[in-house]
Amino acid sequence: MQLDLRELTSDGFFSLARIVGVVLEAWPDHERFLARSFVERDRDIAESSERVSAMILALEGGDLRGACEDYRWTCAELQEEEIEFRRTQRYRCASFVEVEREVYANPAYMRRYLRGLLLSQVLWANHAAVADFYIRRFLAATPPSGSLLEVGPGHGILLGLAAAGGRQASVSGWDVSPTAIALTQRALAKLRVAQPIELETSDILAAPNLSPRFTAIVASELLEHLEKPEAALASFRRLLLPGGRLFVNVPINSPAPDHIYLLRSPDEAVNLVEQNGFRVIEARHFPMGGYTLDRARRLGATISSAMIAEASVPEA
Amino acid sequence: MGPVFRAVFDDDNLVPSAGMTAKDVPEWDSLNHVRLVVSIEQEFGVKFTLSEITELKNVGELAILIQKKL
Repeated sequence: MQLDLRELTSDGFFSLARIVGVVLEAWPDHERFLARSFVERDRDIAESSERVSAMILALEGGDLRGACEDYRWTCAELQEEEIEFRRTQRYRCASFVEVEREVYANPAYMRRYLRGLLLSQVLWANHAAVADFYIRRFLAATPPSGSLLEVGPGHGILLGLAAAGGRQASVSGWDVSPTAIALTQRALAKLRVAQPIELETSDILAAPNLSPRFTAIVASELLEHLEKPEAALASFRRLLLPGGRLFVNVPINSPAPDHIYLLRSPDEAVNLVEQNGFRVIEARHFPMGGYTLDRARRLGATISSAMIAEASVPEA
Repeated sequence: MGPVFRAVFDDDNLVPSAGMTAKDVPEWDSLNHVRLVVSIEQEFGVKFTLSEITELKNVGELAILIQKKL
């Protein structure tokens, strides 16, 4: 399917068209990037993007122009990180303390940054493909009446999608930061999610005595923010009930002000999960817009690695 | 600059000219812009500021910038 930026409305993607339209008003020079991001998007992914776009409008529709300006600003911040990354081959920040000081403890910066990244969920080819994979391959396969936990739920989109179908008996979100939990709380109120969602300030790395409680755990764009993602995976393993599934989405070669843990290839991402108590059932690796997976691997371009995993059986 | 351009854009026939802009090269996206500039930095032993990198308008401006820094 060739998705044309200027024909989104006639294709029935009204919410997506509105976001794209306002972005291009605010940033006309971004059209070439967006055209490349949309051209390979198949109908399924476009439909998922439309669903997520409607949620974004519920969250930011009151000030969509401001959100688009923040998206442009975020892209500029990320380009600055990209320059340093290409010069040094490392992420600029190496510790949580550095990121805390420069990013997390700066509410004005965080607000702009998170709004910018929210729009990327539908504007960037790799993010849009991950959302579709989450909806169609992970959520659709969760057992009825399950219990789902998202760690680091941020903008609340993935929790909102999990709760929307009424499939889960319980939906929970944990974050180490009370500020982040408050943000998710406000977002879920705007999304008018019917099912109650239990939000909790909780540090999965520090919580003692974790016991199996969940049939599904979601860790989307979380592991790259941690110094030791292995410890988080160990906690997920303890929290999953037998037969439970883990959804991981982690970016490869993706410099950002708050990224610490650098994965240089999809194989490294799969190995990280598999070497810490899980067996990957399905893995999909989505390159940034305009790149094939082979070319993205060759040039070290950003790839989103999305995986569905289950606890591995210890070797006898 | 020719060899750097040809390597970054993976095009053996590419010949940069002063008036050339990103719009003239299909593969010249934001990532390849960064790859190009950082490759130029390494090739010529110079370093550009962020504003110099983001405000470059064409290959001619890039050539003048390099000459100023050498």
